[in-house]
Amino acid sequence: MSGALGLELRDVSKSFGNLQAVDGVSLRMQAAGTYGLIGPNGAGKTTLFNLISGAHRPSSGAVLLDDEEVTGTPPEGLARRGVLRTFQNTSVFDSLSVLDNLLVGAYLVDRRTAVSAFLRPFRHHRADVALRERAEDVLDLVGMTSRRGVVAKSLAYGELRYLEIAVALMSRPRLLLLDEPGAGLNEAEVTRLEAILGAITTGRETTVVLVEHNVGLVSRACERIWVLDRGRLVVDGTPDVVLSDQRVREVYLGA
Amino acid sequence: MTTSAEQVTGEAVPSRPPAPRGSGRYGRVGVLLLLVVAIALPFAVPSPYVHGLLVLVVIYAINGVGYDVQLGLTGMFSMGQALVFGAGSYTVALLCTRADSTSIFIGLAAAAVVGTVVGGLIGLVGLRTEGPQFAMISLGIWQIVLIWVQNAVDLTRGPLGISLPSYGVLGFGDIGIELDSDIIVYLVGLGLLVLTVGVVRRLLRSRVGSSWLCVRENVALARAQGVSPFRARMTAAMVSSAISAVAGGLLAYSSGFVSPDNMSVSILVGAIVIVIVGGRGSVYGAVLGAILFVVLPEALRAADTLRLLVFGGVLALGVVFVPNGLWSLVAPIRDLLTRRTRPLDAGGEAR
Repeated sequence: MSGALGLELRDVSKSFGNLQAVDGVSLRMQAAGTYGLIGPNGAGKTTLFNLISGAHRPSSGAVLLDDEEVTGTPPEGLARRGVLRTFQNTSVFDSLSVLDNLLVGAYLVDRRTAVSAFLRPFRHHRADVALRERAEDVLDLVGMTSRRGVVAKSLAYGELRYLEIAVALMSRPRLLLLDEPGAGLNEAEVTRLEAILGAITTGRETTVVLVEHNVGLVSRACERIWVLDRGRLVVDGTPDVVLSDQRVREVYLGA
Repeated sequence: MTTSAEQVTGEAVPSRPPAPRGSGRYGRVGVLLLLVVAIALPFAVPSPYVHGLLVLVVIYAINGVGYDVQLGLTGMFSMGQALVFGAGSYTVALLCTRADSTSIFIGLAAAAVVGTVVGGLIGLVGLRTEGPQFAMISLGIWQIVLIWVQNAVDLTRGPLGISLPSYGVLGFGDIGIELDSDIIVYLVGLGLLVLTVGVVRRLLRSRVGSSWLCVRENVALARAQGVSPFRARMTAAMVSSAISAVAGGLLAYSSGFVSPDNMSVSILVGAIVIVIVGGRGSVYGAVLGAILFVVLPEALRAADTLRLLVFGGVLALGVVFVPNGLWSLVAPIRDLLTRRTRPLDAGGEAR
């Protein structure tokens, strides 16, 4: 199972009590593109991510991956289909080293089974070597090779963001959801993040969706942007079109 | 940024020497030396009293390694450990009395199977919840079964307990070595301890072990990475329970007597103390914890009536000043001695 996944939302809504966090969102993202989801705080971006990644179940509507309905599938089930994500509040395995974060997090591509551990030592060893090689490749891609022995909780904030992406990359994502990957990064770190994004998307094996506040980053990295405000889609289109839209300037840029 | 995305997202993975790993040759030599010392110990110290303590150390160590799988590696606080330990003891006792089976291979294998099943059942009921709720549910199951064991006089003879009619046999049928001395029980236990540590460490280098660590560290991220928390905790409960039941079975062979005390609260407390004092999640730490747990109270006999008070005080101070357990004191020394390649030193930038 490989190749980028296309994503479709059909009239998806989610409410928490009286709060309508996401309100009738429909969108279609073609496979292998890089897309942006922007909007002011509380617009429902993260909730929408949670609906796509299975962390929340939609109150109504349908989520489709490559035209197959997956509404209500739990996160681990969606991960198995290739939907990997990062979290807004940087979520890694805190007490493990960078390398162990990748090895332990790579559950889906880990061929070192309990059976091979005891009965197929050679196969087990080959699987172990393959996994470590892959981890080295991913570390290389996010530029953290020299940091592999550092315990995650002592990493700098920016490095945590790269590590999060690296953990997700281990499992060969077909749809990668990045929740504010640029939040809290300085200019140099954003440039490095863009390089990482570029490396992820050049093979066109992965559809990437960013929730992001950094308009510059989104407009450079994404080929299409959706703007969310109070749970509704306001406008979508190419970065140029969207960012010059009067409604977007009002709701988002406050101008 | 030399690696292209095809390499990372596609199937093709270029070959490259594997990252530095494990403790290597020196580590293995060290472990072997320690084993030789452990084997020689009962012969070097010909005291039945010491032999009795050694037996307790290995039994508690096996139980501790088992409990570490849940408490230390998966972050589950199960109160059912005394139950599976006792289930192992009773399995052995019933095999000896009802089935005339004294082979410890059969007895301990049966204990492991019973332990796995009981642990799995606790998980099946309790792992619909997590954290403190799971602790409470497993506590409830343990207490219910304990009351049943105390009252099922026909099967367990209740509080009177079951005396094993004969020693266990390291072999099949009547052919083999009788477990008629503490030295033999200790050596058998030592072998089982080595096996247990090996199995757990081996599992830690598989996706099963990875799923345990994922769930311990970060449940939301674990799920996002495709790990089912229920499945991870269930496998941890079953592996852990199998090991603890073997420890319980071994205690039955060594003491020749099984009563509800074999699943009493002191078994659970012992396991908790051993894992925490030894160092949660370190596997080897449980062995250190077991040594301390057995030897310290004996060393404190001089304190007479204040013994337990001092013991408790030492444990409390230990948790305050060595919060990561004894293994956190030993591991750096081990790394130094084995010249373990620290991934940091191996730095990849210069490659």
